[in-house]
Amino acid sequence: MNEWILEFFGIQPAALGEAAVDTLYMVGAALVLGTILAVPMAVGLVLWRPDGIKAHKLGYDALNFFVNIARSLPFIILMVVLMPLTRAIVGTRIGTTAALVPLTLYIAPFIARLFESAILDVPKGIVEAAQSMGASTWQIIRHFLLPEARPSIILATTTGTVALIGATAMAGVIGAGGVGDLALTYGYQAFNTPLMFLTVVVLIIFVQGIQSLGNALARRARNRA
Amino acid sequence: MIELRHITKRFTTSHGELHALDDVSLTINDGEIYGIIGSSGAGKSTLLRCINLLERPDDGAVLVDDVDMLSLRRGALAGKRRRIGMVFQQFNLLDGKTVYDNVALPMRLAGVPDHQIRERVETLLGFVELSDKANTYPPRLSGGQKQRVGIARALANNPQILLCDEATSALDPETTESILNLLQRVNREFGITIVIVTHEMQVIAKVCERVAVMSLGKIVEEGRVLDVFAYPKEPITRRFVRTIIDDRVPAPLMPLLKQERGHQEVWRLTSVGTSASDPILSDLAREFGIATRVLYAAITEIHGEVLGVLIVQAIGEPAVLERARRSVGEDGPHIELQDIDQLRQAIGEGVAA
Repeated sequence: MNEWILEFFGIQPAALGEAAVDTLYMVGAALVLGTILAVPMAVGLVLWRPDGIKAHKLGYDALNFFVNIARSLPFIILMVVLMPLTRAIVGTRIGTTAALVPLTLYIAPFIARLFESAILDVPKGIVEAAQSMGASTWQIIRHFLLPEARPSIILATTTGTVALIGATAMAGVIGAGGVGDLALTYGYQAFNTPLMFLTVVVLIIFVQGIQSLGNALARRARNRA
Repeated sequence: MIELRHITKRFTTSHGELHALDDVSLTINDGEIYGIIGSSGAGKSTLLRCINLLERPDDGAVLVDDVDMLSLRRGALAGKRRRIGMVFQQFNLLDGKTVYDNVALPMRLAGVPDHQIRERVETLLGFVELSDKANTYPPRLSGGQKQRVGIARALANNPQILLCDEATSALDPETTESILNLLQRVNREFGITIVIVTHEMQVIAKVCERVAVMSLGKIVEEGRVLDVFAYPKEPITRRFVRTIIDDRVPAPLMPLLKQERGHQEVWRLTSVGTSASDPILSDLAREFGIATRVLYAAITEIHGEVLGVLIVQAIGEPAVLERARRSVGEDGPHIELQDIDQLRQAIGEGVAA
């Protein structure tokens, strides 16, 4: 089996497994870190907007501007621009862990935007009901807005995950591993067509699987009754 | 007691400033069911929201049990709001939480211990007759059931006041009836003051003791519901009353007025109480020899009392008619002479509309 893989794909089977693990690690870690950053950003965007319950023009404009700036940079450029920051945080500019810095900062504003629109879709009346019960701002977020937006938040996270998989492929440029790197280094640069196809198939399976999982979770959250 | 004093609220729109509320004053007594009626955009919902400060007035004072609401700090205001329940036209239930959790939520926010919450939710769901739906999610409920959950939720923290914002407007007539019965029970059994905002006069007629009629950000008429129904003063009030008592002479009867050769008058008789069904017409014929023809008649129950409206064509000598009017007006129904030309115009409007 191993020999067969080596012969057909021109690569050690262990390298294949390693690439898959690297991709999962980057996607998983960046998703968790990015979501942790995205939730407060999204909540800030919702509360501070001009008709929000804590309208704050300066805060909203600043946050909105930041998110737009971050979203307007293609990932490959963001990665290069952030190199000094990456070095300051991780200690090195290259490698799989180093890639987490640009990946997180790439995905957080993206997810924040999606979360923002998910929360804005919660009917205004829900917030009114909360206020009429004497709920504090924190209680409104915790008990009303986030739970009611949950199905959309799950779908937004799914979209974010798929976008991250795309970004990790480019992370190969700064020496991060992963399935995308495999495709670029061996498949493209070494003209290894079978390997190229293998990575394509693996990526398709990844994305399909994640999307199906996200859809199923969102559906369950929506029609729980 | 709820006192609204000189409340003014302006909204800035793309067309300039809009006076949503223009110097509105209102007093609502403890334990009564008070109605606020108006067309859409009249400012009635904004006024209701000024009571629990979901809308902050630009000017004026809001006093709930002598507490100046506008002076309260955030924490104190939250505490006060817990004692003011609110139900909404669109129910505003959380779709992702069960009926039980929806009703429990206000108590959880207030930090009530779990075992007390359980007991209270069970009592409340029993009260609104939804004990069997505790574990159901709101999207699975009918409109009437959703509003029952909304009412149970609003009662969770033992409020003294219940604000109803078009609570029955999204419901069919039968469900409206059952929700209104429930609100009456809330009022009677718990002594909770209820303020109802609506555009439906039958809601006012069924449950309210007093009513304020709003138009363009002002209260144009206010008083006991029966009085407002019996003697509406403002045109807008008359329009609302007509949705229940459509006291317009049917157009096909108008030729009778035109063809009459003798002296005639058109009387509108309004009576309250059981005298509404007194045999007034036969009395007129026997005592004064006056021939009458009924042009319109209605006997309606308004907040538990009987209101009768009768429009008749009376034919006889002018002096006799006047004597009869005086005599009837003394101890019988309120009698009002109608201008026949105006009636014709009103018909014209009616036909055009």
